[in-house]
Amino acid sequence: MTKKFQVALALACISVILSSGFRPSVDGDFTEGIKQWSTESLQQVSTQMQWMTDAATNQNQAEMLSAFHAARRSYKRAEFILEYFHHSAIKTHINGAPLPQVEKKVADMNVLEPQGMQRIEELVYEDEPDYQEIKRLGTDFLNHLAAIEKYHQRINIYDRHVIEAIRFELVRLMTLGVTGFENPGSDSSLAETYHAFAGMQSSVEHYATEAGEKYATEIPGTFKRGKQQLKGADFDSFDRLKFLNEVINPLYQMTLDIHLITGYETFEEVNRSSEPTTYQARNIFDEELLNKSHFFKASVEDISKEQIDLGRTLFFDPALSFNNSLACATCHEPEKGFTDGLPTSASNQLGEFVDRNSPTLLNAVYSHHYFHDLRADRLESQVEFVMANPKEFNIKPYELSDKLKKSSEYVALFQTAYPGAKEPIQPHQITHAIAAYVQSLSSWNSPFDQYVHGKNPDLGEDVKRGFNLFMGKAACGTCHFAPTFAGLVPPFYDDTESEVLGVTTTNDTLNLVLDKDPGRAKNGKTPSATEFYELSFKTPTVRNIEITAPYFHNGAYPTLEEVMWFYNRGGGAGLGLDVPHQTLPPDQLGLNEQEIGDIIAFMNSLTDYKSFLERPDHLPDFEGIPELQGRKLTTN
Amino acid sequence: MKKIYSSFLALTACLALTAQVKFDPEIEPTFVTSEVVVPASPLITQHLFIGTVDMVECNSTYGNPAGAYPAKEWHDFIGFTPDETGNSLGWVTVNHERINTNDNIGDGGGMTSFRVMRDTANDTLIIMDQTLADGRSGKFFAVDFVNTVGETGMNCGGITSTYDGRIWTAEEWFRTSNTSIADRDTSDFTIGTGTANGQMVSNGFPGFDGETMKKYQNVNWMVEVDPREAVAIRKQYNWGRQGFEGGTVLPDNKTVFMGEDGTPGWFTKFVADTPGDFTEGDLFVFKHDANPKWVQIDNTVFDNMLNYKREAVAAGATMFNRVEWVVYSEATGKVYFTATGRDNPGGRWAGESEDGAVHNPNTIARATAQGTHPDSGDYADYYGRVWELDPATDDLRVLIEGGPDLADGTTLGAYPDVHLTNPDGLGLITIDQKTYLLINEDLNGTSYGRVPAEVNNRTCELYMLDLDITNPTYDDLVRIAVVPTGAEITGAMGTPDGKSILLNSQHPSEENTFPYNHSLTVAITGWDQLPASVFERPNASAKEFTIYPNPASRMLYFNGMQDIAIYDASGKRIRVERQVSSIDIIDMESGVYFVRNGEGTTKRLVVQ
Repeated sequence: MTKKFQVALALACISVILSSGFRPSVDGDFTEGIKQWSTESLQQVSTQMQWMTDAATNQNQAEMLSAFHAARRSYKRAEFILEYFHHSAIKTHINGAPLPQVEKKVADMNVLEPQGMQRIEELVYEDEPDYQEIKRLGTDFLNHLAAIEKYHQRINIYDRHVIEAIRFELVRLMTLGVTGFENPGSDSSLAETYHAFAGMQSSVEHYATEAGEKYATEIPGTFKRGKQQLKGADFDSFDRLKFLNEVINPLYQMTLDIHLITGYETFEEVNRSSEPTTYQARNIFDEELLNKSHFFKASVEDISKEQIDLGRTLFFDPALSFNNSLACATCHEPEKGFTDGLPTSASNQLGEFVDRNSPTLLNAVYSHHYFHDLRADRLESQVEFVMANPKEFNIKPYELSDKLKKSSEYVALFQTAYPGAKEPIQPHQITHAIAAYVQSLSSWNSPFDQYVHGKNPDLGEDVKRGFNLFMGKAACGTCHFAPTFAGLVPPFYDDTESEVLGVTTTNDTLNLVLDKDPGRAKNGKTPSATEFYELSFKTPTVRNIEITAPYFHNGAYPTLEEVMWFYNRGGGAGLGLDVPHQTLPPDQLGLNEQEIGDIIAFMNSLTDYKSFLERPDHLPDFEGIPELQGRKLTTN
Repeated sequence: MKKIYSSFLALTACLALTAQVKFDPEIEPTFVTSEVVVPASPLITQHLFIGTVDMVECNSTYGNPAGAYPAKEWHDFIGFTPDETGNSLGWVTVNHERINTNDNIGDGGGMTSFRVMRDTANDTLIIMDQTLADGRSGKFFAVDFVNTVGETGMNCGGITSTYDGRIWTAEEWFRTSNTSIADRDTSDFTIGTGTANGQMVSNGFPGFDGETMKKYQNVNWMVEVDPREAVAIRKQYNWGRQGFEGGTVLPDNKTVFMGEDGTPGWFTKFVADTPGDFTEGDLFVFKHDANPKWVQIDNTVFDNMLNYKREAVAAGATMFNRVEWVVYSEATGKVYFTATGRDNPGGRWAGESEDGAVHNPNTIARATAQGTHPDSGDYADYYGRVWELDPATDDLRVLIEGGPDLADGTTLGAYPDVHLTNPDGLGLITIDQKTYLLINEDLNGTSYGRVPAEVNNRTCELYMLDLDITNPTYDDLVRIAVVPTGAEITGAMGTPDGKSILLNSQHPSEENTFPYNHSLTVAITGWDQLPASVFERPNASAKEFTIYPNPASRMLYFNGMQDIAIYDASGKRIRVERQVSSIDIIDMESGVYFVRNGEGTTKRLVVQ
């Protein structure tokens, strides 16, 4: 049975239970009403999933599908509230990606098999569904949903929660909803986005009314526009850039205004934790969207200019390597977007190379993990790994500090950057200074960013088409998430993902050999040592990709055209290689030459590195040490 | 004001009491009726030992030269060994819960040892210079596992003997293959000799010398260390290979209780033949439904020790859900241990259950109340608990259950400040002859009410519980520290003189500025100088808005649950808390603030 026919059949069957958006009662407490409505939504999802499970028991596929779709819709209507309050439980049990996960915070390795609605959705469409498995997953789902529902009834919902939930949902809909993240290859993404969007309308209007006339007028109009755009939209032709500019960003800005005008507290006044996001951004492409201090693991406000300047000097100094052959800048040249143009980078031995491709450092700070294999969790430890690597700096922390102490100029620079330290040039000051410099290399001011901020009206039509493809048909945006276009997961930006693509050893399309670099599975961290992290690599940013060739962890692909060819064919598995845990769907994307050109044009509109070309004017002097005299600043 | 659609605001005033108050974003800071002063904390906080920043003295390892290297991070257990000579206070040992490779300190996790004395002026701790027998000199010393017992890893909890402060470190995270350990040398390991590839060890084990095993099997033991000389003494091969977390030695210097952080986790007892000699003695696993409740496991057979779980299951032992830390209180004569819980343990112990291991009555009762069975996928154990064992009678009971379970209809009470979530670390401090349990939370997750409903809220808490209270309730928990995101509290313990609490802030955190954005061992000193009221909740019974500050714990208590807003000196709102009976002000710098409650009463708050 075809998928489309099944959907039609399913829709015909949906008449029993219809979900609805929240309608405030005319009297009573608004947030209490939200709580009742969202509790009822959970109960509806439960009823519908029970119905689905019963249908699976009876092996009635049509009824199973219609029940499943009804449940999805009920869930989506209340998604903004449910995700806000039950994020981690939902990710694990209710609506997480259909991939195995490692159970967190336990002292043994336990793989949680895929569960929840996205896993169920993969099964219910099969020509011969595994009813037994669907029933098992359905029953599991109902148990976890019941636990959430019980707790949901106990929580206090305050006004700020509702507004914040709305604003996170706006980011979610733009980055995960309209991109088809939850329903790859399915037409239902936009329909579900419609329901999730419409589910928030009355809540936004409620606070808009409280905020004043301007918002009371503009909000309903913006919602109307959004619903018109989404209603019955075709996945491939949906204009995502228009949706971003005319619906999501205006609402993102207005809801912040409303929150501040109404005077409810924001999470920044309540939450004692440091969050990956701030509550300052008015546009989801504002740099303030992300809280840099959270990623740096120390307040970036406390970083001094002297520390950054010292970090820059260290970054360019080959004295950091044991044989004075490599500086950070050797493999991270500013003019190449802080990469080196090589497939894999030069090692400290002439003519020899390290194992992997040099990633860009631009915006690198916005990550929870570093290196292609995600082995480091902070910028400072990233530097330590480079120092320890026998093929790279190959120098022990204290050896390096002893070496630098031989330069009175360095001693003075450290004393200026770290006044009051017990002694100058301690190993942790070296790593801190370099990390301080690297975190300064962030900018969201590319031609595309400028366009989204209304400062660059002349964005090429190919770029616009490319954005729509990137975020839609080509499914790039379901791993390279906006706005970093990296594996930093919206809307809470609390995780950095890796993917198994099945990358080949070379770009030789006639001789395809799978690259066996184990990647994340062998990064030395306990929870990584699992087979589904074999061949898994960090999803890098697409920002500045124009100047950071060659591509992939092994640098095997010199051009973006070849990269697009690889993806268009469904990665390694799509090319016929045996990649058992590939996370990239092996399906052909069906992109034509013009579409590929458009996507590349879009990616090239994300170039933004020119404000970071500054080099130190000289390297500190090591008086009387011949092998350290005449060190040169690396040049491109 | 409350969101009311009706225009009859005045008529619904009674309703408004239960609804949301809106606090003005800014207030005029002049009209204030009364002032509350929070005196400067009488406690002194010191950063004793900082990962990466402090240098530790290492022996030569793998042919690398001896020398000073940046300390490992991920501080966990803190051991304390009193100095009987009186020349110092004693030795502090800090675990590192890692498995990473490190050329000089040794692969795996490890331990750092340092010696402290009190500054007679203000009781703060001074880290002493030492020269050890092996020639190392300095302040911080990496405990040598490489040359003595053949590496270590994931050093989580441990044991401080209540008799004399002997120290064992626990190798947690159960390893099942050589690929999951960090050692560069994964050739077979022989006790007393070393690896097949020639990494030699100096220390063996009586009766087991010559036994050979896979390299990964040489982790997950309790390992005795000598904090004075910063060397490992022996792996306790006669206590079984387990994913150990904690343990305790009783004052008889013979009896050891220890627990495994697993699902199932076993509770184990060892009784030495001779006081002080733990190389020979009998080993037992707890079985609540047997008489006696301890079933002996033949620990003279090395294969039994390698396969402790097999033996425990065969004995029909009692299963716990992740046993964490274990302490013994001389004041009560009881052993306390945490079982931190695991959301859905069913699938993890169903096999052992089928093979004959038994569930403890608490698990059965909980599952029954949930309408299910412990082995079923829908059995949930979100919050964990603290157990109490009487070693004289072997009576076991839950001292305090994690929670309250918000789902079961319990009233919210003063949630969240009296919500106990996933108790993990346990310590003791005796102040003025009163003994308190120090309970560290370590969240397994943020769902199901473990923290207030917030995105990404991962705040862990440290509680004190007066052990004179026989049947404590949540209201008896006194929250003494709150640690923000990521910076998990571990290892909290009191020094024997009752003056200091030592604790670790395990992960780097934005809240700490450079260079304290690393794992930290912190000493908080001055507890013996505090009035007893510090460790109690105030009798907050006033009818009108009243603030009861606790300068030591940096808490403000209020007269009942209410909404609270804090404004800075200029009248700008900086913090709002809803439905709280207390808040902590740990991160509020000294200065003038204003505190307003939901009824609009404002007080001036002077934080010193």
